[in-house]
Amino acid sequence: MNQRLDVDATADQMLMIAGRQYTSRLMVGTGKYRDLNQTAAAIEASGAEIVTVALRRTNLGQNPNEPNLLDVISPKKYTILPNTAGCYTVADAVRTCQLARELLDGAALVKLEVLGNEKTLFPDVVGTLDAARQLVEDGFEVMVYTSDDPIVAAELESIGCVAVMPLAAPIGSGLGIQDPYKILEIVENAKVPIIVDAGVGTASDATLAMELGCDGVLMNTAIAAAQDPIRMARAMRYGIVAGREAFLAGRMPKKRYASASSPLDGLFF
Amino acid sequence: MQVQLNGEATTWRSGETLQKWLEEQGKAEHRLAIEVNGSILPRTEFEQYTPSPGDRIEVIAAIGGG
Repeated sequence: MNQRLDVDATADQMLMIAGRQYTSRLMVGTGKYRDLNQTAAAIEASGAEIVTVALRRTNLGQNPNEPNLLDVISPKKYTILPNTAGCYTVADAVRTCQLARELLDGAALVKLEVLGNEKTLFPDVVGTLDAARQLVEDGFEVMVYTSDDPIVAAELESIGCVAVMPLAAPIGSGLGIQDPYKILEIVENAKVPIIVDAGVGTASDATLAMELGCDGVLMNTAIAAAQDPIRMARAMRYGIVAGREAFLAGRMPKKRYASASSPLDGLFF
Repeated sequence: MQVQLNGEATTWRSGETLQKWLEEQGKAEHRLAIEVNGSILPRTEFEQYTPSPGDRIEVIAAIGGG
């Protein structure tokens, strides 16, 4: 790995979520990989420090000694972010978070998603707001998946969510950022980290999110469904760094006509 | 006796604790969360807990997800 491409932490503030600091602004999921070895290798290559997992019934009676995801993705090394994927009701989402907290020895950080529709996996924002209120009240640190609606994002922040995570496009679609102006509006009005969650397809999508001023990007399928997930994980790592640096640098204004880069003085013809 | 284990009717040896059962399943070392009849059973109680007939037991693990 070429470490020279890493962000110089002294030139940038670290990402702060729920009082903890992170160098990497890329967060990754653990779904859809070929096996646990590939999962571990891709996450290592991504440089991510926050890693999402799902909660499901454990397999009983088969392969008793099969490796466990959390043996490979150790909570000692990574911040484990349990999600409520698959939850279509407030009650299911809250219950899943409570089980996650038990599973992770009281860790309160969760990724809340209350889904509204199987075809689009768009969030049920009414249910999401309700679940967020209950979870914050119960002491959870809620990173919340939501639509790219700036009004809803602001409300989720006021409820006390520790990060607001608007979708760029439907989960797993790889369509990229569909409405950069709404993401920009959310970013400009936020005091908590804004993480683009879902819809990124390739490295330039992640770069664009960061150039808009997002604090990070969370993705799964874009890496896991690439032909070479390990290489794409690395591409995303660099894409995030490039976008963040470009955002901090401040891009040049766009102009309609040309502006010569070489001086006109001293021409000899 | 019968219990509902992860949604399936399962025979449970009367008097067997959850901890003993987890050991038999090769899962005693895994990170799991267990719910009995809709309430979370803290890990510290696995050693003592013996299910009752008809208990609904959910054994939950972290798996890959995004």
